Amino acid sequence: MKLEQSRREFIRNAALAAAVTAMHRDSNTAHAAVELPDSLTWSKAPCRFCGTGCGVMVGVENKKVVAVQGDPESPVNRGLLCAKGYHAGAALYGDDRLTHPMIRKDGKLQKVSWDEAINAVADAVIANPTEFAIYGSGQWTIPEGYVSMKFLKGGLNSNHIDPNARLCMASAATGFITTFGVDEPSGCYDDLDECDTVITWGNNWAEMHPVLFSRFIDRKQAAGSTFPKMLYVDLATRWTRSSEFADHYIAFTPQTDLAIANCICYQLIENDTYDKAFVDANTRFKANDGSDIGIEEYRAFLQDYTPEAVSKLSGVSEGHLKLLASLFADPNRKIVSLWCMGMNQHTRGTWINNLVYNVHLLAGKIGKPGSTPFSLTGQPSACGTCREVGTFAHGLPGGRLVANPEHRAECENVWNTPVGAINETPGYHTMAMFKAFNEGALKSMWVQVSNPGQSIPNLNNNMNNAKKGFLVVSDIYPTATTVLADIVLPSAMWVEKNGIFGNSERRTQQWFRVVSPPGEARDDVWQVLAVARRMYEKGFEGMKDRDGNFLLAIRDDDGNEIEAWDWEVFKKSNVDRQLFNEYRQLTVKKHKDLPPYDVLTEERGLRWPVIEHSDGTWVETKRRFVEGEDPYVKAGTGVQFYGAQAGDDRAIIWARPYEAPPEVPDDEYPFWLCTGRVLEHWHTGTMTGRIPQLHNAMPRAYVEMHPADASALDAKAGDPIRIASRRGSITLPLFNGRAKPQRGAIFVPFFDETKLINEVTLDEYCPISKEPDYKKCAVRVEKVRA
Amino acid sequence: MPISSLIVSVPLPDHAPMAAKAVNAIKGAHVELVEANRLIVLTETSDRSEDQQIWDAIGNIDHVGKIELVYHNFEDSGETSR
Repeated sequence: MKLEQSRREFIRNAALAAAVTAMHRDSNTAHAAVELPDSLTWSKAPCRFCGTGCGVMVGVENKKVVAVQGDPESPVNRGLLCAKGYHAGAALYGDDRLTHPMIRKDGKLQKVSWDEAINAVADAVIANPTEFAIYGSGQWTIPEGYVSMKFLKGGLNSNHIDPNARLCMASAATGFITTFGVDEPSGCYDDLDECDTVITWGNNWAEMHPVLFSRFIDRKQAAGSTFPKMLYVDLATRWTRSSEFADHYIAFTPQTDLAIANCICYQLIENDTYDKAFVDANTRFKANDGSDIGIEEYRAFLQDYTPEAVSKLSGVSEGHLKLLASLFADPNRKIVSLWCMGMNQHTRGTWINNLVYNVHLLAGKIGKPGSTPFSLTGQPSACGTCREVGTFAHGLPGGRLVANPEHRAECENVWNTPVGAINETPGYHTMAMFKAFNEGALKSMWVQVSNPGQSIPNLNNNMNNAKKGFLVVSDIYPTATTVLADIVLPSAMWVEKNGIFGNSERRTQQWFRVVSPPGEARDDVWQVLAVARRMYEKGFEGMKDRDGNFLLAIRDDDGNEIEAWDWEVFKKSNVDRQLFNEYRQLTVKKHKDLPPYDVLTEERGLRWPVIEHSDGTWVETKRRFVEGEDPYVKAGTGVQFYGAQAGDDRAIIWARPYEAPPEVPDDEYPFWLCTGRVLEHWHTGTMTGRIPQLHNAMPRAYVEMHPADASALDAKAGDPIRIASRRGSITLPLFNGRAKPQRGAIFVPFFDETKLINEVTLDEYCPISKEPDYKKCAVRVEKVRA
Repeated sequence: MPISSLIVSVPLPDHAPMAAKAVNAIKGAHVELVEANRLIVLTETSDRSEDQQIWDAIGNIDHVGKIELVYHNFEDSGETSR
């Protein structure tokens, strides 16, 4: 179908009107509502990609998504999209979508019926129920994660479930919990509208979270040099597009962020410029071993972190270290600290999270509009599905823990499982899970919405060379993981199914299915229900509740069970609604209250805790722990860190030391290797790689290095460079068009399935969060000569 | 024919006229509105593979700092593939 002239004109006008609306999103000027083409059916959905949670309007015509627009009503992005969100609709239509189930027979994946595939998965689980694991995702919808977690923890007496969010934000979660007693940010995106200073800690938000970047940078550019000048400080190990907009680019030696944060604290204490009233009222101090200390012991601990000493260690000038402290010392500055993988993928990821909280707590820059430490997330529901639903190996919904008998009993009551159905021992975390799978301790694994065959560090050791178990993979496209699978199940994607995501700022966003999945592809929720039902029908006791009924029964509003395991019934039903309303029972009264499903259908997301007021309205919470905003804060307290494990409403300032990384450059491997993402691609590139514009713009991985290092190798752009570590090697073309690492460091993106940089990376991880460090290991580089 | 709208930002309003002139010189791109340091650009291309070429060309214009994307209609652009 080619567009007719009149229709093209109409779409042009719609596109123009949308841009005008988006451009004036921050002004008070009234503008006419955007008139969208009325031959299309438009529906709201959160973007499928990163954790920002932008709103997208999805236009459907003839049962196909044909247009997307940044949702002008979304408070997150106010009509704007980045390159990935802009192509979110096109990501549905790659020509190699998985469209039928397959089972490996005679060494080859062969098409089978859904019935045969479901039966085979059920048999594999029944054969070894406690030696079976589910590896999930921050891209699971909330109902997907919830049903998988309930299936495994409620039905198999096992906790071997963990999401790939272990690889991206587990350190943020353990950082929150160790400092505040509860997980997830107290601040929100509104703080970017009210701050005057942003400090990024190893975060290239211009490319990874561009809509949020614009939200601040537009204000900064509009403010110009008005006093007090708005500032952007980029603390980083590599010059990026974000750095181009920074007032101060502060490069540091990898891992020394620990010392830099302590140096800021040292100066605040020694210069007596910390916020005494805030610290006295709201914090207490702990030594690294967890024992209580006083401020004088904390002061003594900090003596190793003078600007002079830290400058030598980190490579940051004393002037810059003093500048950082002076910003936090200024009582009038409103500072947002932002970070993502740069801090979290760290062998001391929990500690560096604690230390940035230390800085903000000492400065009293938390719980006030425009002042907050804020961890960004890389996946659309890492917060909603992993941290809130409790799909980690140790977790249960609403911040509960499997190790806590009261928490287990609360879940068993809601699920109506037999008493003791939930195992008290945490299951395998991600890194342990793949080790167990490859060594045979786990007999089978079901991978859902993730691609560990490309994303697990040190692949040669952890994944590709040693797979002994039975592997089931549910996905939308062929991946580096599906090629290893014994069974492949084709999944529905994004708006081909109902869904709910929870973004970085505690915002829960719902959407409806607007198109059908291709071929025989089906929802992940259905896949779990069908396997569970087959196990129930085979007499597996774990799939029975206390009364002998099906554990994962889905009931209509009248309480009648519907046969949701039947695809024809499932697709006519809204199973998400039933699952979410069951799940939310486990969030209320836990300070993470979620509203009923039907409320979410009418909103562009709500930030929890969401409380029903006496007039029947459901009201969200912008900032946690803040009187007047958070309904759980007692009147008269101002700020109340009510999650404190000691019950004293105080956040903890930790004396966390600098610790050297486990592998540093030496004579044999003299360069630092850092891995990460690029603007065009999202994670392992399985979706963005199917979009020609994005693929053509960045078709293959590359290596970035400092021009002086390239010159020393006699290498120019395009020359093949061999990168070798103690674990593996890879050859990539040199590319220096976008960012610039420091001397002695290189950067490689991980999106390219044909060039697996994770065969080179190190698999050491933070001992608290178990999150591996993809950001630093030692490598040798050499130009490959013909 | 894919039709898209973009917001292009330059650091200062003084940079906008030159940037607008350069954008208008790119086949398939047209500046519809200039306001302070921001330009609204409409693009119309024969297929979606041309979109990225236009963005790249805009991104290479002096002083262009950000390209934000708002609307994307791709109804007759065919399927995607690697």
